[in-house]
Amino acid sequence: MPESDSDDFESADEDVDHQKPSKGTKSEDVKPQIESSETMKKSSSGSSWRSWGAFEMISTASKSVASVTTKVSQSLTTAIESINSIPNPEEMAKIQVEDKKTKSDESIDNEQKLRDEASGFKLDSLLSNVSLISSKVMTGGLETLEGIGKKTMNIIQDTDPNIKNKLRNMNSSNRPNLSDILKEAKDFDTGNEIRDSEIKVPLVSFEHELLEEYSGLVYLEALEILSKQSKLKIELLMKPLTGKSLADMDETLKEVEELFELPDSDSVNDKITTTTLGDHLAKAIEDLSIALNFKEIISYSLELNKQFDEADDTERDCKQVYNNSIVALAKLCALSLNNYQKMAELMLSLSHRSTADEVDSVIQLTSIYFSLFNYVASKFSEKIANSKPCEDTKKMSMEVFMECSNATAYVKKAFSFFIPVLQIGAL
Amino acid sequence: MNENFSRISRLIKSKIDDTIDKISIMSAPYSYSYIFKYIIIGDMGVGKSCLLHQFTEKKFMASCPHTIGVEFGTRIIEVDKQKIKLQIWDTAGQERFRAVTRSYYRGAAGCLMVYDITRRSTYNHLSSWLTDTKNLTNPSTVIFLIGNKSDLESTREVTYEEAKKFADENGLMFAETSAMTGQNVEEAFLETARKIYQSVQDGRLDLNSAESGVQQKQPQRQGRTSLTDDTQTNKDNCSC
Repeated sequence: MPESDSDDFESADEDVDHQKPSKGTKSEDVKPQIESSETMKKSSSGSSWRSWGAFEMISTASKSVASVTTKVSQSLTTAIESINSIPNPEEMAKIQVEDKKTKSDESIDNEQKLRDEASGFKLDSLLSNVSLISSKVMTGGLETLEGIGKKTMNIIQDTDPNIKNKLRNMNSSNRPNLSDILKEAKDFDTGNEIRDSEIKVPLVSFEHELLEEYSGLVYLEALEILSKQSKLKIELLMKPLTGKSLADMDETLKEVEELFELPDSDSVNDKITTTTLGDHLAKAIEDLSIALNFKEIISYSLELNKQFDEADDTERDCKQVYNNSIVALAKLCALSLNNYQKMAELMLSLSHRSTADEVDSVIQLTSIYFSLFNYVASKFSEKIANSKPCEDTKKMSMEVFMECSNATAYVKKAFSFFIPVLQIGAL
Repeated sequence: MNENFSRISRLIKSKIDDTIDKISIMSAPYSYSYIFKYIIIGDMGVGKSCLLHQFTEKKFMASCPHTIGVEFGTRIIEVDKQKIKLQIWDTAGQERFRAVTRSYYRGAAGCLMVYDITRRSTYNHLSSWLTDTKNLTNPSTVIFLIGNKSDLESTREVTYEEAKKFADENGLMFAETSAMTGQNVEEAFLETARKIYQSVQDGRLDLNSAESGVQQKQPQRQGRTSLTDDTQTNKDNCSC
């Protein structure tokens, strides 16, 4: 039985060898991780803030100042012009965006007042409001300039996809603010470059490189190879089929795919902790006849647990705790990817496979990892909050959860690679 | 006005420092310029995992469990003043994993084909291992034949001359090694890397192809490092 198995694989290989043209494309998408990082480097090398240099930075800053000034004056003009017809509260709100940055309370009140009055269409008070705002723009200039500097830096950093996602998530608020306006202007200048790079690089974070450090990417690569090979084998088996046998096979493939539903990464099982992990993992694979060993991830979890139990958080530097958390999540992610890869190898080397059990196990495993990542992220975020307070405590807590969702994304990818591996076992 | 400017410039600088701080903490600069993919193949029990362990840890693993599917090892070496990360795929020798391990050959820049000098059967199987390798890798893949367990001279079944002849006939590099004493282990891995690097230099290997098993790392991080230096000097100049 295993003999014929290997023959099929071999013939699959030979088949690829004969199809020279498709071979190139095939191997090209074998390493999406590495390639995407390559793309990232390429796309960022042109536009990253590194290549901007100090001069460009200053020139951008001054450009931005200029563009804000024009925007403000434009808005003022439009606003004043619109007095002749019906005043547009939106325009007025736009002018106030800057003030909002520094004197938010006051300006919200003011905006409210302005809106009320605008809807009431009182010309006098409207005019006085316009002058009030413009005088505010002058007096608030100092803080505004500072704000512009700050925001410009954000935009410069935004061109670096490495931190772009984080910044965007941190600054997520729906109301228009100065940075949005500046960003719009900049997007207009640089075309759609930024958005393009974002699409090409779905999984980018600091963790990416740490993950490579812990071999996570190579585990994923190996799993992907197995996934592609299984897919190829399925296609070869399908080729000679026609009529009913083809329809039957198609049905089986679809059934497996439908059964194999990705668990919800948000529904967390809070019974899964760094100490109970071993039991849950053992239970997840108990129906499978494979000797998958979880030693490494279990012992690393217990190691983390020791960190969590250490009492004296108050003496700890929060930056240190933060760094530990990122390393922990990257390492856990790599170890879980290793488990997936080993699991696929073991399944593919079996002569008799039970698809229903396999599907169930992989789903269970996946939801355990989701819960584990979440548990570890929460614990670390707690620790950061309890550690010696520093400037960015809040930001750090948020980033820990960002990294957590990053780890989740890698696991989701591994999950999707499993489909053909399970399907081939069902045929 | 002057004061404002210095405030802004200080702010920008602190922002830059902050970012660089984060980047350098989270991701150490690439300390290598190439990654070479190796595979180690050969019959069960010839000492593939022990060779890898000796090469990466400089230690002999006395009792080594059977490898499942593939295990990985890495080590950064230097060839011609270039740092190269070897990413080694150590395959299982057990027959039941053969179908799985065959999938991993593609895209290897180097292939270490191992037999055991004290077991003739492992030598006799070399032609089938070689056929697999030739079929599944690309023509530029460097194949290094390794006769392991050279420390067990008393139970030798395959002579050096015989294996050397086989290697020469098939255009393979060859050495006898001992994963236990470490003899020639380093050399086998490094010689392979040198030959691959030579192919890269000669342009025989296409770096853009994933098949080649060689990836070049862009020296992107260095740019960042030098920027760090710049800002630091700026800070020193501008201690106003």
